[in-house]
Amino acid sequence: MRNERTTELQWPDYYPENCPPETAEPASGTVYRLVQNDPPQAEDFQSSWEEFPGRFPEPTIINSGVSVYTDPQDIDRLFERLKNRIGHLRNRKTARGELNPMLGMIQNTPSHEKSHHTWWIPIGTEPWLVFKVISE
Amino acid sequence: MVNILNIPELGELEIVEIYEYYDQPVLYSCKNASGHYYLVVAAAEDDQFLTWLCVAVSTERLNLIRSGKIDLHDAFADSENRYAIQVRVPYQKHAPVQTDFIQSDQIPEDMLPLPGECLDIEIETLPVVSNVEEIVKSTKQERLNLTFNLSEGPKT
Repeated sequence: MRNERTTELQWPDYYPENCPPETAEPASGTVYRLVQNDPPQAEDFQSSWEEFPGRFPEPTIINSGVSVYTDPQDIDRLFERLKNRIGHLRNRKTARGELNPMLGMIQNTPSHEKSHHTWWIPIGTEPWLVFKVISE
Repeated sequence: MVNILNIPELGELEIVEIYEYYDQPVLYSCKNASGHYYLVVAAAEDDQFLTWLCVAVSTERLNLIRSGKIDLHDAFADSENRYAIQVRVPYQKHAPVQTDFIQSDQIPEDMLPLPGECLDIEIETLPVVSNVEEIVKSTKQERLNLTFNLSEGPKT
């Protein structure tokens, strides 16, 4: 159930219906994300839909959010693998952030790493300010 | 599934398996309406484009890649039909997606997975290899025909 504070959040116009999903929870706690910039910048927190306008036929719940991990070992394992496999992500850096409910909603969406979460970021916020690069 | 890189030249693509995911599928297999399989990786980025590489794979070769018998580097750099499709997706709104064919052995190394990097998928979900001609083709090996005449051997 969403609390009163999070229902005040304003979401991007392109978000599809029911996004974030009802099962998402207010953002909180420590999360990790791969970023291009040190210090992190706004472009490091764009959803795939925002980053590649016109690529997808339509916005979805998934391509409207961004990936974060709650377990630092998960992001380390992931990044080691991605550096070896994915040229596009080879030069990323690991950043740690402290989320709060004003920064949106998250939901556990396990992939190879169980602590993978999808994070939906409301408009009018500056999430890059709560993130700090912790390793190259 | 709509969350996929669609390449007009290949028709509508459907994701078969996602091997790596970060914000979006970044290494995956897919197939088109006629059942042809492709392996796709997010290969490079610059100020204007995210560049993807896409290679056609037979079912047999995809199974060899999935099981780690063919590494991810060679999956792209030594593809069965000797070329890859390079798809450049612009960051800029309304800019067109650009597709080019590139010879597999001409793909810059920094766009490729590192040599020796392998998938290790144990669960067999794709059709099992059954045709020796396809196995030979997908692994680029020679076929050797041997005939054994057992009728003249010692009998116990």
